Amino acid sequence: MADNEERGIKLVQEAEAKQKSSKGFFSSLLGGSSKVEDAAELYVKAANAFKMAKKWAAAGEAFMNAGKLQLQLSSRHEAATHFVDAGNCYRKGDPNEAVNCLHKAIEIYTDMGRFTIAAKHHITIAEIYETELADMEKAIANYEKAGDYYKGEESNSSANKCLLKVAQFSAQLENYEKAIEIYEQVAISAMENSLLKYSAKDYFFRASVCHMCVDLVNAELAIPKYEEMFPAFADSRECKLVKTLLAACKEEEVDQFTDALKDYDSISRLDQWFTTMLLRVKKTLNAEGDLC
Amino acid sequence: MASLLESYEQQYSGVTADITFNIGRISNSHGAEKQTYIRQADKLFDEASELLEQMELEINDHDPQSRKKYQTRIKSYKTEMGKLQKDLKRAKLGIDANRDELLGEDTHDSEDQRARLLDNSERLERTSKRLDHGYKVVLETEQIGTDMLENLNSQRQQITRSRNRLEEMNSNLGKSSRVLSGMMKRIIQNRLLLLGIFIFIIVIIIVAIYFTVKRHT
Repeated sequence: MADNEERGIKLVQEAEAKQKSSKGFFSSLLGGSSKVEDAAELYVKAANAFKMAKKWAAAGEAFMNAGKLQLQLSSRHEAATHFVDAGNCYRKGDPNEAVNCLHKAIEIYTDMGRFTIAAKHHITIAEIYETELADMEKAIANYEKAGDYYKGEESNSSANKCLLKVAQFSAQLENYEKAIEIYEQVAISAMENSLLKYSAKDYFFRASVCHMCVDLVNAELAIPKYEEMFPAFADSRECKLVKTLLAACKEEEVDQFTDALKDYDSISRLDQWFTTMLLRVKKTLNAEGDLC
Repeated sequence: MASLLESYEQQYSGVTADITFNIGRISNSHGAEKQTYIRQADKLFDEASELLEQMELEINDHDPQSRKKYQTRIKSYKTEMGKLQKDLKRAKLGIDANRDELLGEDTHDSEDQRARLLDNSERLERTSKRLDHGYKVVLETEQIGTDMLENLNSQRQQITRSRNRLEEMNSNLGKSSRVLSGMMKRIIQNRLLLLGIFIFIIVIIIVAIYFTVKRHT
Protein backbone atom coordinates (compact mmCIF):
# COMPACT_ATOMS: atom_id res chain seq x y z
CA MET A 1 0.00 0.00 0.00
CA ALA A 2 2.60 2.47 1.13
CA ASP A 3 4.96 1.84 -1.75
CA ASN A 4 2.14 2.33 -4.23
CA GLU A 5 1.66 5.73 -2.73
CA GLU A 6 5.36 6.49 -2.96
CA ARG A 7 5.40 5.36 -6.54
CA GLY A 8 2.45 7.59 -7.22
CA ILE A 9 4.12 10.61 -5.68
CA LYS A 10 7.29 9.95 -7.66
CA LEU A 11 5.35 9.67 -10.89
CA VAL A 12 3.51 12.92 -10.18
CA GLN A 13 6.81 14.68 -9.68
CA GLU A 14 8.16 13.28 -12.94
CA ALA A 15 5.03 14.37 -14.76
CA GLU A 16 5.24 17.88 -13.34
CA ALA A 17 8.87 18.12 -14.37
CA LYS A 18 8.02 17.01 -17.89
CA GLN A 19 5.20 19.49 -18.08
CA LYS A 20 7.41 22.37 -17.01
CA SER A 21 10.15 21.38 -19.36
CA SER A 22 7.72 21.25 -22.22
CA LYS A 23 7.02 24.92 -21.75
CA GLY A 24 10.58 25.84 -22.67
CA PHE A 25 11.15 27.49 -26.04
CA PHE A 26 13.00 24.87 -27.97
CA SER A 27 11.07 21.91 -26.84
CA SER A 28 7.82 23.56 -27.83
CA LEU A 29 9.29 23.92 -31.28
CA LEU A 30 10.69 20.45 -31.58
CA GLY A 31 8.84 17.82 -29.61
CA GLY A 32 6.57 19.80 -27.30
CA SER A 33 3.43 17.81 -27.91
CA SER A 34 5.04 14.47 -27.27
CA LYS A 35 6.36 15.80 -23.97
CA VAL A 36 2.88 16.87 -22.93
CA GLU A 37 1.54 13.49 -23.97
CA ASP A 38 4.17 11.76 -21.88
CA ALA A 39 3.35 14.00 -18.97
CA ALA A 40 -0.33 13.15 -19.28
CA GLU A 41 0.49 9.44 -19.40
CA LEU A 42 2.64 9.75 -16.31
CA TYR A 43 -0.20 11.49 -14.48
CA VAL A 44 -2.53 8.62 -15.39
CA LYS A 45 -0.04 6.06 -14.11
CA ALA A 46 0.35 8.03 -10.91
CA ALA A 47 -3.42 8.20 -10.48
CA ASN A 48 -3.70 4.44 -10.88
CA ALA A 49 -1.01 3.93 -8.28
CA PHE A 50 -2.90 6.20 -5.88
CA LYS A 51 -6.08 4.27 -6.60
CA MET A 52 -4.36 1.06 -5.59
CA ALA A 53 -3.20 2.74 -2.41
CA LYS A 54 -6.75 4.02 -1.89
CA LYS A 55 -5.70 7.65 -1.74
CA TRP A 56 -8.79 8.89 -3.54
CA ALA A 57 -8.15 12.60 -3.33
CA ALA A 58 -4.64 12.31 -4.77
CA ALA A 59 -5.87 9.96 -7.50
CA GLY A 60 -8.65 12.36 -8.40
CA GLU A 61 -6.21 15.26 -8.60
CA ALA A 62 -3.84 13.31 -10.81
CA PHE A 63 -6.67 12.38 -13.16
CA MET A 64 -7.76 16.02 -13.31
CA ASN A 65 -4.27 17.12 -14.28
CA ALA A 66 -4.10 14.44 -16.93
CA GLY A 67 -7.43 15.62 -18.29
CA LYS A 68 -6.32 19.24 -18.44
CA LEU A 69 -3.18 18.27 -20.32
CA GLN A 70 -5.25 16.31 -22.79
CA LEU A 71 -7.40 19.37 -23.35
CA GLN A 72 -4.24 21.26 -24.23
CA LEU A 73 -3.55 18.59 -26.78
CA SER A 74 -7.16 19.04 -27.92
CA SER A 75 -7.99 15.38 -27.66
CA ARG A 76 -11.31 16.02 -26.02
CA HIS A 77 -12.46 12.42 -25.75
CA GLU A 78 -9.44 11.47 -23.71
CA ALA A 79 -9.84 14.51 -21.53
CA ALA A 80 -13.48 13.74 -20.87
CA THR A 81 -12.69 10.13 -19.91
CA HIS A 82 -10.02 11.33 -17.51
CA PHE A 83 -12.43 13.78 -15.92
CA VAL A 84 -14.97 10.99 -15.46
CA ASP A 85 -12.33 8.83 -13.80
CA ALA A 86 -11.45 11.75 -11.56
CA GLY A 87 -15.11 12.08 -10.65
CA ASN A 88 -15.26 8.41 -9.70
CA CYS A 89 -12.25 8.74 -7.44
CA TYR A 90 -13.53 11.86 -5.74
CA ARG A 91 -16.92 10.26 -5.25
CA LYS A 92 -15.52 8.15 -2.48
CA GLY A 93 -13.97 11.07 -0.68
CA ASP A 94 -15.34 14.47 -1.55
CA PRO A 95 -18.71 14.43 -3.37
CA ASN A 96 -18.62 18.12 -4.30
CA GLU A 97 -15.37 17.76 -6.19
CA ALA A 98 -16.78 14.71 -7.91
CA VAL A 99 -19.74 16.74 -9.10
CA ASN A 100 -17.38 19.41 -10.43
CA CYS A 101 -15.33 16.93 -12.41
CA LEU A 102 -18.42 15.30 -13.83
CA HIS A 103 -19.79 18.67 -14.86
CA LYS A 104 -16.61 19.41 -16.77
CA ALA A 105 -16.82 16.05 -18.49
CA ILE A 106 -20.47 16.69 -19.38
CA GLU A 107 -19.57 20.06 -20.91
CA ILE A 108 -17.09 18.37 -23.20
CA TYR A 109 -19.55 15.69 -24.20
CA THR A 110 -22.37 18.10 -24.97
CA ASP A 111 -19.94 20.14 -27.00
CA MET A 112 -19.17 17.11 -29.08
CA GLY A 113 -22.85 16.29 -29.34
CA ARG A 114 -22.72 13.00 -27.42
CA PHE A 115 -25.89 13.57 -25.49
CA THR A 116 -26.51 10.00 -24.38
CA ILE A 117 -23.27 9.84 -22.48
CA ALA A 118 -23.86 13.29 -21.06
CA ALA A 119 -27.28 12.14 -19.88
CA LYS A 120 -25.74 9.09 -18.23
CA HIS A 121 -23.36 11.29 -16.31
CA HIS A 122 -26.16 13.61 -15.30
CA ILE A 123 -27.81 10.59 -13.76
CA THR A 124 -24.61 9.78 -11.86
CA ILE A 125 -24.45 13.32 -10.55
CA ALA A 126 -28.10 13.18 -9.55
CA GLU A 127 -27.45 9.95 -7.68
CA ILE A 128 -24.57 11.54 -5.82
CA TYR A 129 -26.82 14.44 -4.83
CA GLU A 130 -29.51 12.01 -3.79
CA THR A 131 -27.41 9.71 -1.67
CA GLU A 132 -24.34 11.43 -0.44
CA LEU A 133 -25.24 15.08 -0.41
CA ALA A 134 -29.01 14.75 0.13
CA ASP A 135 -29.72 17.81 -1.97
CA MET A 136 -33.03 16.93 -3.56
CA GLU A 137 -33.50 20.00 -5.73
CA LYS A 138 -30.19 19.67 -7.52
CA ALA A 139 -30.87 15.97 -7.92
CA ILE A 140 -34.22 16.79 -9.52
CA ALA A 141 -32.58 19.32 -11.85
CA ASN A 142 -30.02 16.78 -12.98
CA TYR A 143 -32.56 14.03 -13.48
CA GLU A 144 -34.65 16.44 -15.51
CA LYS A 145 -31.76 17.38 -17.77
CA ALA A 146 -30.91 13.71 -18.22
CA GLY A 147 -34.52 12.98 -19.14
CA ASP A 148 -34.53 15.80 -21.67
CA TYR A 149 -31.36 14.58 -23.31
CA TYR A 150 -32.73 11.06 -23.48
CA LYS A 151 -35.96 12.32 -25.00
CA GLY A 152 -33.88 14.18 -27.55
CA GLU A 153 -32.12 10.97 -28.43
CA GLU A 154 -35.40 9.07 -28.63
CA SER A 155 -34.49 6.62 -25.88
CA ASN A 156 -37.90 6.71 -24.32
CA SER A 157 -37.46 4.03 -21.72
CA SER A 158 -34.41 5.69 -20.18
CA ALA A 159 -36.19 9.04 -20.38
CA ASN A 160 -39.15 7.55 -18.54
CA LYS A 161 -36.90 6.19 -15.85
CA CYS A 162 -35.43 9.64 -15.20
CA LEU A 163 -38.81 11.35 -15.34
CA LEU A 164 -40.20 8.94 -12.78
CA LYS A 165 -37.43 9.85 -10.40
CA VAL A 166 -38.12 13.52 -11.00
CA ALA A 167 -41.78 12.96 -10.20
CA GLN A 168 -40.99 10.99 -7.07
CA PHE A 169 -38.74 13.64 -5.65
CA SER A 170 -40.91 16.57 -6.66
CA ALA A 171 -43.85 14.98 -4.90
CA GLN A 172 -41.69 14.56 -1.82
CA LEU A 173 -40.82 18.24 -2.04
CA GLU A 174 -44.55 19.01 -2.40
CA ASN A 175 -44.35 20.05 -6.02
CA TYR A 176 -47.45 18.04 -6.77
CA GLU A 177 -48.45 19.61 -10.05
CA LYS A 178 -45.28 18.56 -11.74
CA ALA A 179 -45.45 15.08 -10.30
CA ILE A 180 -49.04 14.59 -11.45
CA GLU A 181 -48.21 15.79 -14.93
CA ILE A 182 -45.26 13.46 -15.27
CA TYR A 183 -47.10 10.45 -13.91
CA GLU A 184 -50.02 10.98 -16.25
CA GLN A 185 -47.75 11.44 -19.21
CA VAL A 186 -45.74 8.31 -18.45
CA ALA A 187 -48.87 6.29 -17.76
CA ILE A 188 -50.42 7.27 -21.08
CA SER A 189 -47.32 6.34 -23.01
CA ALA A 190 -47.12 3.10 -21.07
CA MET A 191 -50.63 2.12 -21.99
CA GLU A 192 -49.81 2.08 -25.64
CA ASN A 193 -46.90 -0.27 -25.27
CA SER A 194 -48.01 -3.86 -24.86
CA LEU A 195 -45.07 -4.65 -22.63
CA LEU A 196 -45.58 -1.78 -20.26
CA LYS A 197 -49.30 -1.71 -19.73
CA TYR A 198 -49.07 -3.70 -16.51
CA SER A 199 -47.04 -0.92 -14.96
CA ALA A 200 -49.55 1.72 -16.11
CA LYS A 201 -51.87 1.04 -13.20
CA ASP A 202 -49.08 1.71 -10.76
CA TYR A 203 -48.51 5.12 -12.35
CA PHE A 204 -52.19 5.99 -12.19
CA PHE A 205 -52.24 4.99 -8.56
CA ARG A 206 -49.35 7.32 -7.81
CA ALA A 207 -50.96 10.13 -9.74
CA SER A 208 -54.17 9.70 -7.76
CA VAL A 209 -52.30 9.76 -4.47
CA CYS A 210 -50.64 13.02 -5.50
CA HIS A 211 -54.03 14.43 -6.45
CA MET A 212 -55.27 13.53 -3.00
CA CYS A 213 -52.41 15.42 -1.42
CA VAL A 214 -53.32 18.51 -3.36
CA ASP A 215 -57.05 18.65 -3.21
CA LEU A 216 -59.76 16.08 -2.72
CA VAL A 217 -62.08 17.50 -5.34
CA ASN A 218 -59.35 17.22 -7.93
CA ALA A 219 -58.84 13.63 -7.00
CA GLU A 220 -62.51 12.84 -7.37
CA LEU A 221 -62.55 14.37 -10.82
CA ALA A 222 -59.38 12.67 -11.88
CA ILE A 223 -60.23 9.11 -10.96
CA PRO A 224 -63.17 8.64 -13.31
CA LYS A 225 -61.05 10.20 -16.01
CA TYR A 226 -58.33 7.63 -15.41
CA GLU A 227 -60.83 4.81 -15.34
CA GLU A 228 -62.15 5.93 -18.65
CA MET A 229 -58.69 6.06 -20.14
CA PHE A 230 -57.64 2.76 -18.80
CA PRO A 231 -60.39 0.27 -17.99
CA ALA A 232 -58.12 -2.22 -16.31
CA PHE A 233 -57.31 0.37 -13.67
CA ALA A 234 -60.90 0.32 -12.50
CA ASP A 235 -60.69 -3.32 -11.44
CA SER A 236 -57.45 -3.13 -9.61
CA ARG A 237 -57.24 -3.17 -5.84
CA GLU A 238 -55.39 0.11 -5.92
CA CYS A 239 -58.33 1.89 -7.49
CA LYS A 240 -60.67 0.45 -4.88
CA LEU A 241 -58.33 1.58 -2.15
CA VAL A 242 -58.20 5.11 -3.53
CA LYS A 243 -61.98 5.24 -3.71
CA THR A 244 -62.31 4.05 -0.10
CA LEU A 245 -59.76 6.59 1.02
CA LEU A 246 -61.57 9.39 -0.78
CA ALA A 247 -64.85 8.40 0.81
CA ALA A 248 -63.17 8.29 4.21
CA CYS A 249 -61.69 11.73 3.65
CA LYS A 250 -65.01 13.20 2.64
CA GLU A 251 -66.64 11.92 5.78
CA GLU A 252 -63.53 12.85 7.76
CA GLU A 253 -63.32 9.41 9.30
CA VAL A 254 -59.73 8.91 10.29
CA ASP A 255 -60.37 5.37 11.50
CA GLN A 256 -61.92 4.31 8.23
CA PHE A 257 -58.92 5.75 6.46
CA THR A 258 -56.45 3.87 8.65
CA ASP A 259 -58.41 0.65 8.40
CA ALA A 260 -58.51 0.72 4.63
CA LEU A 261 -54.78 1.35 4.56
CA LYS A 262 -54.07 -1.44 6.99
CA ASP A 263 -56.08 -3.86 4.87
CA TYR A 264 -54.21 -2.96 1.75
CA ASP A 265 -50.85 -3.04 3.49
CA SER A 266 -51.46 -6.52 4.91
CA ILE A 267 -51.77 -7.87 1.40
CA SER A 268 -49.05 -5.95 -0.37
CA ARG A 269 -46.73 -3.61 1.41
CA LEU A 270 -46.77 0.10 0.73
CA ASP A 271 -43.29 1.39 0.07
CA GLN A 272 -41.67 4.41 1.68
CA TRP A 273 -42.82 7.04 -0.84
CA PHE A 274 -46.44 5.94 -0.52
CA THR A 275 -46.27 5.97 3.25
CA THR A 276 -44.96 9.54 3.23
CA MET A 277 -47.65 10.76 0.83
CA LEU A 278 -50.51 9.01 2.56
CA LEU A 279 -49.30 10.26 5.91
CA ARG A 280 -49.54 13.80 4.57
CA VAL A 281 -53.08 13.17 3.40
CA LYS A 282 -53.93 11.73 6.79
CA LYS A 283 -52.48 14.78 8.51
CA THR A 284 -54.61 17.13 6.44
CA LEU A 285 -57.56 14.93 7.33
CA ASN A 286 -56.77 15.24 11.01
CA ALA A 287 -56.36 18.98 10.72
CA GLU A 288 -59.73 19.33 9.04
CA GLY A 289 -61.26 17.12 11.68
CA ASP A 290 -59.88 19.35 14.41
CA LEU A 291 -61.16 22.52 12.78
CA CYS A 292 -64.62 21.09 12.45
CA MET B 1 -33.89 -50.19 43.05
CA ALA B 2 -35.89 -53.28 42.18
CA SER B 3 -38.01 -53.05 45.30
CA LEU B 4 -38.82 -49.41 44.54
CA LEU B 5 -39.98 -50.47 41.12
CA GLU B 6 -42.04 -53.27 42.58
CA SER B 7 -43.70 -50.92 45.02
CA TYR B 8 -44.54 -48.61 42.10
CA GLU B 9 -46.08 -51.53 40.23
CA GLN B 10 -48.16 -52.48 43.22
CA GLN B 11 -49.38 -48.91 43.58
CA TYR B 12 -50.19 -48.84 39.92
CA SER B 13 -52.28 -51.97 40.03
CA GLY B 14 -54.12 -50.57 43.05
CA VAL B 15 -54.85 -47.36 41.16
CA THR B 16 -56.10 -49.18 38.07
CA ALA B 17 -58.42 -51.31 40.23
CA ASP B 18 -59.81 -48.12 41.77
CA ILE B 19 -60.32 -46.59 38.37
CA THR B 20 -62.23 -49.60 37.10
CA PHE B 21 -64.39 -49.53 40.19
CA ASN B 22 -65.09 -45.84 39.74
CA ILE B 23 -65.98 -46.29 36.11
CA GLY B 24 -68.48 -48.94 37.03
CA ARG B 25 -70.04 -46.62 39.61
CA ILE B 26 -70.16 -43.68 37.18
CA SER B 27 -72.21 -45.52 34.64
CA ASN B 28 -74.69 -46.47 37.33
CA SER B 29 -75.11 -43.07 38.99
CA HIS B 30 -76.53 -39.67 38.03
CA GLY B 31 -76.16 -35.98 38.64
CA ALA B 32 -73.94 -34.72 41.45
CA GLU B 33 -72.78 -38.16 42.47
CA LYS B 34 -71.70 -38.82 38.95
CA GLN B 35 -69.67 -35.62 38.97
CA THR B 36 -67.85 -36.57 42.19
CA TYR B 37 -67.05 -40.00 40.81
CA ILE B 38 -65.83 -38.47 37.60
CA ARG B 39 -63.55 -36.13 39.53
CA GLN B 40 -62.20 -38.99 41.59
CA ALA B 41 -61.54 -41.01 38.50
CA ASP B 42 -59.66 -38.08 36.95
CA LYS B 43 -57.51 -37.70 40.03
CA LEU B 44 -56.72 -41.41 39.99
CA PHE B 45 -55.75 -41.08 36.35
CA ASP B 46 -53.31 -38.31 37.18
CA GLU B 47 -51.82 -40.45 39.92
CA ALA B 48 -51.48 -43.38 37.54
CA SER B 49 -49.69 -41.32 34.89
CA GLU B 50 -47.36 -39.88 37.54
CA LEU B 51 -46.53 -43.40 38.67
CA LEU B 52 -45.78 -44.43 35.11
CA GLU B 53 -43.44 -41.46 34.70
CA GLN B 54 -41.60 -42.27 37.87
CA MET B 55 -41.29 -45.87 36.81
CA GLU B 56 -39.75 -44.77 33.56
CA LEU B 57 -37.20 -42.64 35.40
CA GLU B 58 -36.39 -45.60 37.63
CA ILE B 59 -35.72 -48.03 34.85
CA ASN B 60 -33.28 -45.60 33.29
CA ASP B 61 -31.01 -46.29 36.23
CA HIS B 62 -31.08 -50.03 35.64
CA ASP B 63 -28.86 -52.07 33.36
CA PRO B 64 -29.98 -52.67 29.75
CA GLN B 65 -31.40 -56.20 30.07
CA SER B 66 -33.77 -55.57 32.91
CA ARG B 67 -34.51 -52.22 31.29
CA LYS B 68 -36.00 -53.96 28.26
CA LYS B 69 -38.15 -56.15 30.42
CA TYR B 70 -39.47 -53.22 32.38
CA GLN B 71 -40.02 -51.15 29.25
CA THR B 72 -42.29 -53.76 27.74
CA ARG B 73 -44.16 -53.87 31.02
CA ILE B 74 -44.58 -50.14 31.06
CA LYS B 75 -45.85 -50.22 27.48
CA SER B 76 -48.53 -52.69 28.44
CA TYR B 77 -49.47 -50.48 31.39
CA LYS B 78 -49.82 -47.53 29.05
CA THR B 79 -52.11 -49.39 26.66
CA GLU B 80 -54.17 -50.41 29.68
CA MET B 81 -54.39 -46.80 30.74
CA GLY B 82 -55.50 -45.82 27.25
CA LYS B 83 -58.26 -48.39 27.33
CA LEU B 84 -59.36 -47.23 30.76
CA GLN B 85 -59.48 -43.66 29.53
CA LYS B 86 -61.70 -44.66 26.66
CA ASP B 87 -63.96 -46.47 29.07
CA LEU B 88 -64.06 -43.43 31.28
CA LYS B 89 -65.02 -41.25 28.35
CA ARG B 90 -67.76 -43.65 27.42
CA ALA B 91 -69.01 -43.70 30.98
CA LYS B 92 -68.94 -39.90 31.09
CA LEU B 93 -71.02 -39.71 27.99
CA GLY B 94 -73.49 -42.18 29.44
CA ILE B 95 -73.08 -44.83 26.85
CA ASP B 96 -74.52 -48.16 27.66
CA ALA B 97 -72.07 -50.96 27.03
CA ASN B 98 -74.85 -53.31 26.08
CA ARG B 99 -76.25 -50.96 23.44
CA ASP B 100 -72.78 -50.75 22.08
CA GLU B 101 -72.44 -54.47 21.74
CA LEU B 102 -75.83 -54.72 20.10
CA LEU B 103 -75.54 -52.03 17.52
CA GLY B 104 -71.82 -51.96 16.82
CA GLU B 105 -69.36 -49.19 17.57
CA ASP B 106 -70.58 -46.54 15.12
CA THR B 107 -73.53 -45.23 17.05
CA HIS B 108 -71.80 -42.57 19.07
CA ASP B 109 -70.57 -40.24 16.39
CA SER B 110 -72.74 -37.37 17.59
CA GLU B 111 -70.92 -37.26 20.91
CA ASP B 112 -67.73 -35.93 19.48
CA GLN B 113 -69.56 -33.23 17.61
CA ARG B 114 -67.99 -30.55 19.71
CA ALA B 115 -64.53 -31.86 19.02
CA ARG B 116 -65.37 -32.10 15.34
CA LEU B 117 -66.64 -28.55 15.18
CA LEU B 118 -63.49 -27.23 16.77
CA ASP B 119 -61.43 -29.29 14.39
CA ASN B 120 -63.33 -27.99 11.40
CA SER B 121 -63.05 -24.37 12.36
CA GLU B 122 -59.33 -24.82 12.90
CA ARG B 123 -59.05 -26.34 9.46
CA LEU B 124 -60.98 -23.49 7.92
CA GLU B 125 -58.69 -20.98 9.55
CA ARG B 126 -55.63 -22.75 8.31
CA THR B 127 -57.06 -22.88 4.82
CA SER B 128 -57.91 -19.21 4.77
CA LYS B 129 -54.43 -18.33 6.01
CA ARG B 130 -52.93 -20.39 3.26
CA LEU B 131 -55.14 -18.76 0.68
CA ASP B 132 -54.12 -15.34 1.93
CA HIS B 133 -50.51 -16.26 1.72
CA GLY B 134 -51.01 -17.63 -1.77
CA TYR B 135 -52.70 -14.43 -2.82
CA LYS B 136 -49.80 -12.37 -1.51
CA VAL B 137 -47.35 -14.54 -3.39
CA VAL B 138 -49.35 -14.16 -6.59
CA LEU B 139 -49.35 -10.39 -6.25
CA GLU B 140 -45.63 -10.35 -5.68
CA THR B 141 -45.17 -12.51 -8.74
CA GLU B 142 -47.25 -10.10 -10.76
CA GLN B 143 -45.14 -7.22 -9.57
CA ILE B 144 -41.96 -9.06 -10.47
CA GLY B 145 -43.40 -9.85 -13.87
CA THR B 146 -44.16 -6.18 -14.46
CA ASP B 147 -40.64 -5.18 -13.51
CA MET B 148 -39.22 -7.77 -15.81
CA LEU B 149 -41.32 -6.49 -18.66
CA GLU B 150 -40.02 -2.98 -18.07
CA ASN B 151 -36.49 -4.28 -18.06
CA LEU B 152 -37.07 -6.15 -21.27
CA ASN B 153 -38.48 -3.05 -22.88
CA SER B 154 -35.52 -0.89 -21.99
CA GLN B 155 -33.10 -3.59 -23.05
CA ARG B 156 -34.89 -3.88 -26.34
CA GLN B 157 -34.41 -0.19 -26.95
CA GLN B 158 -30.77 -0.45 -25.99
CA ILE B 159 -30.22 -3.28 -28.42
CA THR B 160 -31.94 -1.40 -31.23
CA ARG B 161 -29.80 1.66 -30.54
CA SER B 162 -26.61 -0.39 -30.45
CA ARG B 163 -27.50 -2.02 -33.72
CA ASN B 164 -28.09 1.32 -35.37
CA ARG B 165 -24.83 2.65 -34.05
CA LEU B 166 -22.98 -0.39 -35.28
CA GLU B 167 -24.43 0.06 -38.74
CA GLU B 168 -23.36 3.69 -38.74
CA MET B 169 -19.93 2.68 -37.58
CA ASN B 170 -19.73 0.09 -40.30
CA SER B 171 -20.49 2.63 -43.02
CA ASN B 172 -18.03 5.08 -41.44
CA LEU B 173 -15.34 2.47 -41.45
CA GLY B 174 -16.04 1.74 -45.10
CA LYS B 175 -15.74 5.43 -45.89
CA SER B 176 -12.50 5.80 -43.99
CA SER B 177 -10.97 2.78 -45.68
CA ARG B 178 -11.89 4.29 -49.04
CA VAL B 179 -10.33 7.60 -48.04
CA LEU B 180 -7.18 5.82 -46.95
CA SER B 181 -6.84 3.89 -50.16
CA GLY B 182 -7.40 7.19 -52.02
CA MET B 183 -4.57 8.67 -49.99
CA MET B 184 -2.33 5.75 -50.83
CA LYS B 185 -3.03 6.21 -54.50
CA ARG B 186 -2.25 9.93 -54.34
CA ILE B 187 1.00 9.24 -52.54
CA ILE B 188 2.06 6.77 -55.17
CA GLN B 189 1.06 9.21 -57.93
CA ASN B 190 3.07 11.99 -56.30
CA ARG B 191 6.10 9.75 -56.00
CA LEU B 192 5.88 8.73 -59.63
CA LEU B 193 5.50 12.37 -60.65
CA LEU B 194 8.52 13.31 -58.56
CA LEU B 195 10.51 10.52 -60.11
CA GLY B 196 9.43 11.61 -63.61
CA ILE B 197 10.46 15.24 -63.02
CA PHE B 198 13.77 14.15 -61.56
CA ILE B 199 14.55 12.01 -64.62
CA PHE B 200 13.49 14.90 -66.90
CA ILE B 201 15.82 17.32 -65.12
CA ILE B 202 18.70 14.87 -65.36
CA VAL B 203 18.03 14.40 -69.05
CA ILE B 204 18.04 18.21 -69.57
CA ILE B 205 21.31 18.55 -67.62
CA ILE B 206 22.89 15.82 -69.72
CA VAL B 207 21.66 17.49 -72.91
CA ALA B 208 22.95 20.90 -71.68
CA ILE B 209 26.37 19.42 -70.88
CA TYR B 210 26.41 17.70 -74.26
CA PHE B 211 25.68 20.94 -76.10
CA THR B 212 28.30 22.95 -74.13
CA VAL B 213 30.88 20.28 -74.83
CA LYS B 214 29.97 20.28 -78.54
CA ARG B 215 30.28 24.14 -78.79
CA HIS B 216 33.74 24.04 -77.26
CA THR B 217 35.05 21.49 -79.70
